[in-house]
Amino acid sequence: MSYKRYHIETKTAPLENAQIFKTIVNRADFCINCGICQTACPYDVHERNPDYRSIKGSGVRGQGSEKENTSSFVPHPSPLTPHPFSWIDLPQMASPKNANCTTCFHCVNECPVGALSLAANPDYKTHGDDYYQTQKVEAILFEAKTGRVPVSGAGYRGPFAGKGFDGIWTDMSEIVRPTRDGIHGREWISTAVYLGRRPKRLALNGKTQAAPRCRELGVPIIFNQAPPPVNDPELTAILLEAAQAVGTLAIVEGTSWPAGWASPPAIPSFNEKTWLRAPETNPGLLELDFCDIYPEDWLGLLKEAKTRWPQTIIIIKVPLDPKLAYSLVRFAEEGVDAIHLAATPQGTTKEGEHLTSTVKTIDETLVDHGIRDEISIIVSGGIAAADHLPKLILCGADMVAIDVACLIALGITKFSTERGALKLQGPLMIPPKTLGVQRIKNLVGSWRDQLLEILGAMGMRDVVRITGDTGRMMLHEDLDKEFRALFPKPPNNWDPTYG
Amino acid sequence: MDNLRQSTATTHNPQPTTSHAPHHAWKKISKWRVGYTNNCIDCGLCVLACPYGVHQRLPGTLKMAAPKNSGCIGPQCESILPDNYCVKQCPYDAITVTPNEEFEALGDPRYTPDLLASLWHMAEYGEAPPEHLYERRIGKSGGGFDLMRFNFKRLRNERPTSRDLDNISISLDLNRRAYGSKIKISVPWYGGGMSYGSVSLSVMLARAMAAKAWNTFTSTGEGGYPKELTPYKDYIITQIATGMFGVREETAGWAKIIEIKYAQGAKPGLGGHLLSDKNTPDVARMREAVPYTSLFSPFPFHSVYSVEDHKKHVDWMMTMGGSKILVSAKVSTPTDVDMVAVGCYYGGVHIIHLDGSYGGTGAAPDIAKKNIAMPIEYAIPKVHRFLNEEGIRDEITLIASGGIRNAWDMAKAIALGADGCVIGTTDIVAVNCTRCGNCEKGRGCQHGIASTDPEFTEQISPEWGAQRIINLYNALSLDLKEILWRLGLNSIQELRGRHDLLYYLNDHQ
Repeated sequence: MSYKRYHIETKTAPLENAQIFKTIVNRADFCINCGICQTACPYDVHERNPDYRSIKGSGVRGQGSEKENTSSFVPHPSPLTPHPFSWIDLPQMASPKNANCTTCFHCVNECPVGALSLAANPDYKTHGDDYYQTQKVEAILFEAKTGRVPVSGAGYRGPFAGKGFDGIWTDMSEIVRPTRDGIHGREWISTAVYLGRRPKRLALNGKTQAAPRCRELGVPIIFNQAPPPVNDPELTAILLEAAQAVGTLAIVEGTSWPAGWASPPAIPSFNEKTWLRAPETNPGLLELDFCDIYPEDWLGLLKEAKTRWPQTIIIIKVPLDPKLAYSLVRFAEEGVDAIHLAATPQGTTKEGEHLTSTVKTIDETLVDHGIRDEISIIVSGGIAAADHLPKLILCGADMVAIDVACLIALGITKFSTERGALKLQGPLMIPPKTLGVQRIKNLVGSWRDQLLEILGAMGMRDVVRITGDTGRMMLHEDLDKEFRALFPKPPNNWDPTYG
Repeated sequence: MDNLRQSTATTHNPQPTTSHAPHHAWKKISKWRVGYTNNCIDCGLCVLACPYGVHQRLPGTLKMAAPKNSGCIGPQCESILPDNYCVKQCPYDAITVTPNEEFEALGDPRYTPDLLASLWHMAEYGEAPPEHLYERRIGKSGGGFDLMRFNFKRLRNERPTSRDLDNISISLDLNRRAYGSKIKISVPWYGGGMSYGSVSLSVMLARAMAAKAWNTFTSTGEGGYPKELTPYKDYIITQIATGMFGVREETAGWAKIIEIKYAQGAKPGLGGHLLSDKNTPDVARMREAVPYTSLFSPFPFHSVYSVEDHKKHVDWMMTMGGSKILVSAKVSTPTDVDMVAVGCYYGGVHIIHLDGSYGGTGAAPDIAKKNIAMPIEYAIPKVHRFLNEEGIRDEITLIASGGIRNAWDMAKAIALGADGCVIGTTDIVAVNCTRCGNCEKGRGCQHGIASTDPEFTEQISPEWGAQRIINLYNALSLDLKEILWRLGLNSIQELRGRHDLLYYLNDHQ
């Protein structure tokens, strides 16, 4: 058996219609077609359009018809035109390629007649919504396109802090132990996690111990079913193939479970309506969706499932709710292998409490009852950026299940997730399968690399070591409280515009 | 050599000359656009009304010239100068004042368009822009420095005379220990490390010239010591990091301060990384590396695993640089930043340089910039208090960096407990950085700042850049003095740790 390091194959996978740009360059009608902007721009925003020629010699924009004359140089008839190049009949400047623009203002400054201007793109804000903000959508599209870690210069440029994920900073270690290299070190940082039940200790009483019901995944990311109304077999096929390729799993609607998969990367999911159509044979992994059932009935169903599929890794999906923490302890004791905590697409409980604090509460309750290490916790809903992954793991999740992020990676950027429901604007356009699979692979590869950055900064070599390690994160809430205590309270009539 | 050090140590309070230094291509992007409709009868009432000279007649005629947009303070004029508001003064309602879209396309919540434009104004003219033109005290990040306000003793409409400002001292002693040379810088800030390769030689030279003019320092960053910088060697800090790029005993011997970079704010715990495209043959020669390969300066120092190791490290620097040298430890801001600072002190350093997570000048992964380590605002009081409790606060100089944008941020950082600041981004904004954030792209910065591409770098001449930075420093020092004057303080030392002079607003205020 040869040793092989876990690796995600990434390669550029551009998607034509998935381009978002912040600014647009406007070319006014009085552009003299001199081409100075073309030399000024290092990023090829301004180029000539060889098929689109000015009316010969006039310098006026218009569709030319004399393609055969492309090499002719005709003097400009008007001596008043100021620019020295204007006697050359060059192809017309094409409309600016806004996607390349980096807002450096070079073309605006160098245009001799002031025909160019920049403005904020009105379309920019229409991608995503107030939770999946355009910057996040933009980052996911970049990650899915290139598989690289987004890098930029000149410091952080966003808001100071926010609620939930934005109120967490992860720790770093100034000097690390001799055995631990940083991110560029020789030592391997592992992102492998286990899904399922692990026995607390080896049984040494002579009895044969049952093999642990768990599965190793290369990354702490699995794919979740897209929230309703999205239910598309093409999407499922893409997610299954991507899951296979990166060594992870995809949760799929149970009734459409593809029995053809030899070693399924699929986790079939059944709810109370589809329960009876579940396969008799051992599916390996199974998710029971309890989100629409009263908690009192959960235990009975779980017991029934345990007797029906004794060898199967059983995951129960429950709504994210801190009040359910004690029930979850009971399930863990009754033999459930993994718990899937489903938040709303905006990353909150139904009451609007944020994901991070709730996951922390549930994790702490399970730890207090001494059962946390035996089961896995999957968290889904509202995972919209690479930094959410390490932060949720620090809060106590073993892995995350991503859904809307996959849709964005596939170029679906116009939607809203208000009031807990996904609403698409326009039809669902799923890209061709190979392209789609590559984009999902790129996304996972990029998020994994970013997870490595966080782990490297902490001097940790194993992602399982930081699960629930709340000491390695700094909360804005705590720091701000301590900080605020330093200052006196301003008097009521005090003017904040002076000072 | 020692005589030279002594002589520069005693000269302070220089008055470098400021002069107008416009950008050769940069047109001013005004905040407001003023326009005349066809109703205009060229009566000229607006010319009389506007104190900012926005409206002017064409010379020698009665016709109105195109409005000078850059002076306009916008619709707030109506409440501030009700008798001078041209829109209301015009008898034919022929004047429109609208926001300029181009201006709004600049900047981000931390460096708002107003902040950028005010820094450019300072770099061009050497003085602050007119009051009301820009909101230049704070940004819009909604936290940290942007929520802090001074509780000034003087009233808003009081103005300091130039003598008032001259009497205020803003110089800073960098060495408070019993050993090493005594170095006093004339302004309470110095330039942060930007390496040859991450920025162009012209920018390095410009910063060094400005540092000399203002009797302060600039840092080489981790990319070697280009020989062009030797005339300014008394104003240059040599930075040493794990890659040891271009570090030679001779250059370390030239330095008056050696900075050990344990971690940096923008990518704490990740080390340095020069992308392959920016490693041009010149850069590679300096770094003794192969051209066009990615150069890593890996985290961490494998010679430093404890405070004892750190002490050995500092001793090594002192052996290399002579007994007069000062050693600075640049560290990032993890949870235990206070313990790290105390460890640095016991290792024998003179300066502890805290680099907060929101700063950084070169390219860094977005995830690291936003999420790893805490912002500098929270770290300063933590460290200040801990050093005080340990009884060692007055033996060490605490320098803060990472998101310090202007004189207000500096004053706030000092009021929180720092002795001085390090600025980096502000310097490069002065040489016309628009913060487009493309420092990492192939050929690098299209303004010739964060690039070693000859075609781009020729846009900046060292002399012009130096003049811009000198102008900026002049404006910053005037602002800082005015803040101290408004607080009723006489020196920057009196401000240290005075967080009782600050208010911290709620998010919604």
